[in-house]
Amino acid sequence: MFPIIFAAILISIVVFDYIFMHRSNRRVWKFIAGAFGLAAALALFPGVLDRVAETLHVGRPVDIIVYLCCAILFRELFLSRARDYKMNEQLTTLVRELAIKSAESVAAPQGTKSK
Amino acid sequence: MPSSNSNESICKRTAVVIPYYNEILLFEKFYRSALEAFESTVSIAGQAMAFDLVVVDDGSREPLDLKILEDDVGANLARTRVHLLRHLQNLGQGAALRTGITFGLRKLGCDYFVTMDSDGQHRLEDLPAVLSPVVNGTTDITFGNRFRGALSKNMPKSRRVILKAAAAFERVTTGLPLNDAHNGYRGFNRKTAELLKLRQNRMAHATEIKQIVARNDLRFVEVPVTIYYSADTLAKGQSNMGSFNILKDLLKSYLFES
Repeated sequence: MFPIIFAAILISIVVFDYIFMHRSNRRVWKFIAGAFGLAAALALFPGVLDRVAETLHVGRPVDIIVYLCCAILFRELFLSRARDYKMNEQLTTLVRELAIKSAESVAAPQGTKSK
Repeated sequence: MPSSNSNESICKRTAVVIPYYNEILLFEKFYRSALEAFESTVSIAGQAMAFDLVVVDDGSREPLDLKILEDDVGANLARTRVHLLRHLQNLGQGAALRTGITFGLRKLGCDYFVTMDSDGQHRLEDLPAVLSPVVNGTTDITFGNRFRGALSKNMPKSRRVILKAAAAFERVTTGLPLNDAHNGYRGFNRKTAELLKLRQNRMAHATEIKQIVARNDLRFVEVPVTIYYSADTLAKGQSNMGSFNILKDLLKSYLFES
């Protein structure tokens, strides 16, 4: 019974997103529909995952999903750090150029300010 | 500070780049003595010299006020120019140094550069020794060495061990036979300044500088300097755990720099 309820929840989310998101962000909806549709199909037909796990010599079918999720998570984490690094470099350049542009100097010998 | 009359008619300019971050009391004391020292230094290695003090406020909570710098200048400042640059956000010492060096190259046209800390740990009396080998052309860059010659006061034992380990790490990774890692007292010429495009914003810049020196076959020498460790400077300075952050930053740059 649970697989049917689970698949129904996933499909409901896809339908909900279709109503409220499809027009504004079609690509995201397509991605969600694809991923959730696949998850619903695997919940309804667990035998498919069993056969894949058997073929790959992975103990339990659910382990395939865990391993895949870990790999995707680490990849995303790494790419996110790389993006942060690049953005930090761009921010540094911006802050530096502003500092140089707005530098103030103390003029000698009277100690008056000049720019 | 030693000085002598110069036969050179052209006065060269040296940018003394000082990163500043939340240390107003230590800085004010240092600033006053720095101005006096620069004014009295007529020449270095026989070369007539004038100084540009480039203070880079690295996004302090209470930004450094130009008025503070003006008040301390007095009427006798004839040869030293003081410049204040402000980072809108705290980026780190490496970023502040690069800002100051870029300013010295681009806006002031300086011939020589010195980097030192703003908390009074570095002795101004060591400045001629740091800059002389660069000015007389025997080297491109000098690194201060707190372990050679003059005795650095009150250095904690744990700091000594970590600095020695860091120096060994740098010797292996850069191939440069240097004995003091992360000493902020350096002098270098314009050619070196143009090569020091530091990408390490925080404390790993010291290692990056050595990597640049090794990569470009620059001539270098270590100069004995004295570092004063007081309760204030130790509280303000790097913690021993900072070495892990340096390793982390070096790994990040290895992975992500394009």
